[in-house]
Amino acid sequence: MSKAESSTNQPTKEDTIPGLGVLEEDDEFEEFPVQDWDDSQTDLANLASTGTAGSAAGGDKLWEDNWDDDDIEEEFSTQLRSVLLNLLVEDV
Amino acid sequence: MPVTFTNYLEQISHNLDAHDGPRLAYLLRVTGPHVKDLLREFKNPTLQGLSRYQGAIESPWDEIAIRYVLIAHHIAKRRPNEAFKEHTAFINLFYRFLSTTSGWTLPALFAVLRDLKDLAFDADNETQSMTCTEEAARVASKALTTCITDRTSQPAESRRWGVYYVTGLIMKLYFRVKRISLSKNILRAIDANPDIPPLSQYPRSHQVTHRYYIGMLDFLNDNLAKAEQELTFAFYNCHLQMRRNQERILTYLIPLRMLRGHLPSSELLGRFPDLDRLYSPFVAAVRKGGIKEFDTALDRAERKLLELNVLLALEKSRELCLRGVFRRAWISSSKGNRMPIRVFHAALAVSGVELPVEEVECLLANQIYKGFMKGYISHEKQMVVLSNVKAFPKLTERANPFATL
Repeated sequence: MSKAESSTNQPTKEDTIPGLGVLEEDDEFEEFPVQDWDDSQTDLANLASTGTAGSAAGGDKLWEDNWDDDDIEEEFSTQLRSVLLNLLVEDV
Repeated sequence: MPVTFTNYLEQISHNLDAHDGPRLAYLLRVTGPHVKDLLREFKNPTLQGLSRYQGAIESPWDEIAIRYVLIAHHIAKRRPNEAFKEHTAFINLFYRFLSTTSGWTLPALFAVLRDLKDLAFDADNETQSMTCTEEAARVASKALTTCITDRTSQPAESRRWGVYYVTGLIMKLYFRVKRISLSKNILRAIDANPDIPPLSQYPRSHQVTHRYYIGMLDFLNDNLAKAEQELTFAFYNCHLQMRRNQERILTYLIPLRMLRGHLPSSELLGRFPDLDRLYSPFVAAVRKGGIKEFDTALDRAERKLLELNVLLALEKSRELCLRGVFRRAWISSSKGNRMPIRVFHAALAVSGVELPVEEVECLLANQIYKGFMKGYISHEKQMVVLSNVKAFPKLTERANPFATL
């Protein structure tokens, strides 16, 4: 969220969360029109592993587990270094 | 050809003999197309006026059919309260039959309970109260007892195959009137009965609905690990075309899985635009350790999150952002294992969060305690000594991720 955007959206906070009509509080879990169905009609196909759905974890394209990378923006490092440098100067 | 009341009685009788549950269900639904014909036949039906049909077919079906006409009349005249009251009388008569029969009648039971629920909602909508919905839950609980206590039918033909459908419906009613703690009683009744077949043998629709509600109960009672399991099952086994149900499940599952380091992929969020709008700012913040962005997103969405009861669970992800900030500070310092607290302090400041050093030390202690970082703090030296291996363990590898949040 850029600063410009958050400052122009002052009036009412909830305005900024648009159209969540489907997620109404009283919305009930809908009745299934059919009793039973097989795996092909579920998201189980998206589970790469053959494990049971209850323990669904790795290898699933619906969830990302490996997002913890070591690439950090140059800006963050630069800013951090300059802050620390200033501290050093103050210390001396 | 219009269906006369005499035809209607004959059809009921025929389907009772044939043990045709789905046809019987069709005849008993208040939305059936034959309703129009029956209302044309009886302009102003009353219990007394229709009493001449008593004995026309075997009891209690004569009276059930008569009540059916009365319900239909109330609905047509837009009297939801009367319709609901009449329907409870109708369903109690149906129970009398149900307790003498086997599982073939379950489709009919499910159909009349569905109508009971809808009529209760209509009646309560009109009066802005919850009395009919509460009454409907009581009436439906009787059906549960009747299902559980089938001691005569063959296993395959048992009324017990109705247990989880009825439970799901009762929990839906409890959630509606916000008395979810009552669910405990019915769940206890199921647990206490070893003759009920395992849930996994029931149709998927029963399994998914049941585990959704169990998951929601766990979620709201702060049993987050169990909630994640139940909702994961519900999501993966839900019918793909029931998008709204999937969306509802994910509303609660996404914050839970995030806490374990599983972020919803763009493919998943792309399928659910409303969830994408609601959650992607948080996902992005967690991904890059954007603590400030996280706080801004929380501020903007707070009301909606509160309404959905997910605020508390989602707020816990802030801890993941903090970890992100500290981890970036560590990477910037070439992953040294001796990190002065002031480096973390500065990293937070750069990320837009200015705190006193003592507070940062406290945050670091918490991170270590919760398993986000491995190491210890030397208070005298104002230094964090990090483990040489896995100083910041992968989030998916944290032990008991929900126990310490």
